[in-house]
Amino acid sequence: MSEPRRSPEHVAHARRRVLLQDVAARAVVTVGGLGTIAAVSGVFLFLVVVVWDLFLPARIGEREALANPRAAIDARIVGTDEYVGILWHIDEDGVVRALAIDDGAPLSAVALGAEGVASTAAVSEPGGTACAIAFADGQVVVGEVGFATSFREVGDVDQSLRSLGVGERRAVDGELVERTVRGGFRLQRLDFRERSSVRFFADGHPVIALHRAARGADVVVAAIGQDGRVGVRRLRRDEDPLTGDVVMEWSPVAAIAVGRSASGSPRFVRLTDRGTNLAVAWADGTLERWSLRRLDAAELAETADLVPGNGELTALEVLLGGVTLISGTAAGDVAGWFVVPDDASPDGFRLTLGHAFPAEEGAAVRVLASSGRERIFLVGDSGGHVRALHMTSEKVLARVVSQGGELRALALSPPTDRVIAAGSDAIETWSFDPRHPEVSLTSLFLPVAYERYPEPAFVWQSSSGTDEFEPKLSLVPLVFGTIKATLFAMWMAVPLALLAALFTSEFLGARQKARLKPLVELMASLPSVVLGFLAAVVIAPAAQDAFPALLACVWTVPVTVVLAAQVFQSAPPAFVAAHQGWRLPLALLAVAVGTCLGMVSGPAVEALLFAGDFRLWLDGGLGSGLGAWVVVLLPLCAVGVILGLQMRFRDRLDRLVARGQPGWLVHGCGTVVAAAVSIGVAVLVGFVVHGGLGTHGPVDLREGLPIGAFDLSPFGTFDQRNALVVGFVMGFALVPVIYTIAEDALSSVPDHLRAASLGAGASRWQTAVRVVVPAAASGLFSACMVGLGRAVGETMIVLMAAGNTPILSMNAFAGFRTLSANIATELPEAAPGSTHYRTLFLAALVLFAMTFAINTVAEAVRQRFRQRAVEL
Amino acid sequence: MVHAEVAQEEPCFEIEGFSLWYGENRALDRVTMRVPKGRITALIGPSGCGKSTLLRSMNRLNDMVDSVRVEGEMRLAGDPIYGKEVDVIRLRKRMGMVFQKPNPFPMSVFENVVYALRVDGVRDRAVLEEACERALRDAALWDEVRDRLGASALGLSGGQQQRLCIARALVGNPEILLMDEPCSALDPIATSKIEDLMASLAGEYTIVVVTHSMQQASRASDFTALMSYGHLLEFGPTPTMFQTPRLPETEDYIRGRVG
Ligand SMILES: Nc1ncnc2c1ncn2[C@@H]1O[C@H](COP(=O)(O)OP(=O)(O)OP(=O)(O)O)[C@@H](O)[C@H]1O
Ligand SMILES: [Mg+2]
Repeated sequence: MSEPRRSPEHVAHARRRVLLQDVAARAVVTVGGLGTIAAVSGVFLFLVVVVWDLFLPARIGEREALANPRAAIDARIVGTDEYVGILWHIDEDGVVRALAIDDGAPLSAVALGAEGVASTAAVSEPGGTACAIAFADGQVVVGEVGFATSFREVGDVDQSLRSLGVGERRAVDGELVERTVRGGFRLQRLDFRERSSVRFFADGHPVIALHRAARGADVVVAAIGQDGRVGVRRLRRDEDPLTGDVVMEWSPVAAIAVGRSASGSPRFVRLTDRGTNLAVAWADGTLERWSLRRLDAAELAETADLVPGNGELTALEVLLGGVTLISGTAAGDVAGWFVVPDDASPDGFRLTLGHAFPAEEGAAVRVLASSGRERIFLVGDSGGHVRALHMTSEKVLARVVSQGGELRALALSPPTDRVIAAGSDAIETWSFDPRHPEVSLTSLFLPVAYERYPEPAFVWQSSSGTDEFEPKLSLVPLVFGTIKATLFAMWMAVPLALLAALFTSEFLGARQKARLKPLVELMASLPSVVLGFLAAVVIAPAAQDAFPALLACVWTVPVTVVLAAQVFQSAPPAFVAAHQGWRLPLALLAVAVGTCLGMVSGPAVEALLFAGDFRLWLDGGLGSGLGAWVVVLLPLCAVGVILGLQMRFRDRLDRLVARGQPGWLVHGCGTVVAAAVSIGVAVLVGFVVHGGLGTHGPVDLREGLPIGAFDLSPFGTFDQRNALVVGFVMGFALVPVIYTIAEDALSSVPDHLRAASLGAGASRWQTAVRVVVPAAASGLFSACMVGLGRAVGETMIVLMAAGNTPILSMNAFAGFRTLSANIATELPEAAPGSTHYRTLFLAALVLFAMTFAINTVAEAVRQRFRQRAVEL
Repeated sequence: MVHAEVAQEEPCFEIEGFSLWYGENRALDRVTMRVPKGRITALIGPSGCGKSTLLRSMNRLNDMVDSVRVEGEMRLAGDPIYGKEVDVIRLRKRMGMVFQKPNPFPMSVFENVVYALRVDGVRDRAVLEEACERALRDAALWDEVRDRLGASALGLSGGQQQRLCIARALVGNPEILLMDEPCSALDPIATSKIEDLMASLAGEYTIVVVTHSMQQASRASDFTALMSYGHLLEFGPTPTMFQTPRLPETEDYIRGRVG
């Protein structure tokens, strides 16, 4: 049978077949391997490409001048509509004029003041359309530059318009007609809405500078009169809910007695914080901040100097959000100012310099204009230089030079995609793309000075209800949260999993092991969303009440177990040998007894250490920090005392036993004494560090810091969803992961080492600790690292049970937010391509980098140890 | 069948009708044997006949195997080995064991040698050092490793490792030394060193050595026991066993191997 198969043809045939199989196998493996590598690199590349955009600089286009010289002359303020199709400007003659931005074709115009009366001042809200204009006759007009929009179908428009392409615009009869994407036509006509005018000062005195701010539905207007007086009025706007009729009514002038610290007429007036703060500034840089919480009882809150030295303040504007004041000087310096909490000030706030932009050209700052979407503003100087700056990141986004004569007004279009400069000779525009000015490596990983934050801070606060809100995108709180979650989970899982692995591999028979191991591994198949749900809904509320008892258990359980073990071990050897089977039940009994003891002594512990109410104590309202010190120091003291006693008294105890004292008594007493001494030492050290019971000593572990700064105290205000709960549940999820690998590592320690150790008279426990664990160290380390990798990336549990508060507190009773949970919560609602969206991708990259680093370290250590493993 | 010369010797370790099952599989069948005190007893027999099993039963290392069941008795200097009341750990401290494959622990040479004392809780450095030196001298390794006591034991050569394991077994002054093919992984020079070592230890220690080498058995032992399929076939003084064995099976085995 085998003979013919051996014939040369058969051999050749077989060889060809084997060759073919070889080639095929190699091809499949190569394609599969390369495919996997390509897929992984593809994902990585995609992440990098999305993130890359964050770090690209802003773009500014070529200068485009509009060809309508008449319109450009003496504009006070400019702006555009939402679609950036119409440009409007309010001129010195008090007329608001609109023109098509593409070709400068004039559209309609609306006169705001009385015929022939020139305007004396005009302001608009950041990037917005709400204006206030003052006239030489003492009138002040407030209102909004708006556009009446109507839509027409193709059949309803003039023949000449039908040739318009999509997106093309044309001025017709004072209206701007644009072909929309859907093929219809959008018509827009200038419209000045919500108009209300008042003779500001009762005596008709002209206003030389003014500002407005919305306060709810009302408008607050502050103005400086020609003679230097300052007044504030409020325009109440009441809408009848039934009829929809709007009644507008001006409050009387509230005179502000400015000038206590400066001479001459003030030059600038600005309202911040929804009209509750009034800033009045003089040319020398003196600024009086008045608190307008009650209009009829304005209070001088503070006086500040915006221009140190002899400089001249030449411009003052309010940044989007109405919080930050932007100042510009004759020397060309620009600065951002905002109030921060300060207990020493009459109104609890103090104006501080938040950001400074040094002068570039040295020409005096003439015009400042804020964007309506972002913390971007324009600075124009007397030399025609225009800069676009980002306040929070202090970045210079773009620089252009205006050639339209003397600069009169600047504006950023509502989408912040166009820079507009109105000069004495022409109106110029530049296309603009700020990209992601608020993000930089420093803003992501270093503290940032945000409005109202007394110190630069690490803040993640991405969601924005309004454009006025500034997103704060520091990854530090998220990285911190990830590390915190990992620490707490590992702290729970590592001892548990390693001990369980040691127990299974060293102390269980093959049959029990075969049953137990799959059971533990089955734990891994519990979906983490279920665990998270359990943690949030069941464990967190339960732990809230049982905490002092749990804390007591942490001490009573180990003590009873050790005590039981000591007593059992010091029984006569024959008895011990005969009752080996009792070990496990006895241990379980000890655990049960310890738990009961803990439960019973919980209230006592609470009363003794935590002034009777643990949660109030955590808030810092009750008692002293002593309890915290005792809790923190107790493990250290216990270890120290037990080691010390062992070294010092072991021989004596042995001698006692040798002299015929019952062993269980001697060793039991030893354990009790060790426990008592360690508690005593802990209390004593606590006292020393803390400075005494009942007083708030110099160090209280509960002292917190404001959000945004690191707070490494492990104790603080109690949240139901806290790090301990997450640590417990995530630890539960990590146990099977660590357990499996650790158990494999321990089991793969060759049996001949165990035999050698046992043969040398070591007990199983000694064998496990002295021989097996060191021999399996690399595997155990790998197990922990894999667990660490899992903990860092774990999402569902932290998402559901961690409270999702991105704070920098190590407080075990406070929540946190991890990188992964953050991505999971926010990515669905982040607009694709937005800064927020890309930052979330960056968070993913950081997460990837963290796990990569962990795995690399794990692998490096494994390689180092593998050498040794081979030699065993 | 046991020769009369054996019976005249003072026994150190007595095995009485000892049987052992791995699950359903009987590995030892009513073995009865008295190991003479202060002598070297070689245990020979075909592969799988139960030599290692017998040796491991003597210090109850077979407890590590789950399915093991035993019957019969063993005694070390009159103290029972099997029995409910026996403290296995204390028992094992009275015996030393050396395995086929050198198996030093992944620790320093010093720690390897004094391991048995360490697990006894000895912490006095002077005591440990003295015991270490004595054991290493006994194992004829002292001169080779005296300068590298702190180095990892895994860096030693195979022969050195095996002598280290012997030193480790000797450090607790065992009453009996059990060696399971101690030279099978070694070259002839290392083998002869170990054989010399055994000769020098004889008298002071009782040694049971399992071996597949007939030369080794004939050279290095005082008594030889032949096992087959879990039975003890013949047990007598080595010269008699090799020159005038009583059983034809013994003759076959010895000739077959030697030839
Ligand atoms: N752990 C074990 N579980 C089950 N059966 C075993 C086990 N160890 C040994 N055996 C069986 O017991 C019998 C005796 O084995 P043992 O190792 O004692 O033989 P040996 O004489 O030492 O052989 P060798 O000379 O090859 O070392 C063999 O059949 C073997 O298959
Ligand atoms: Mg064997």
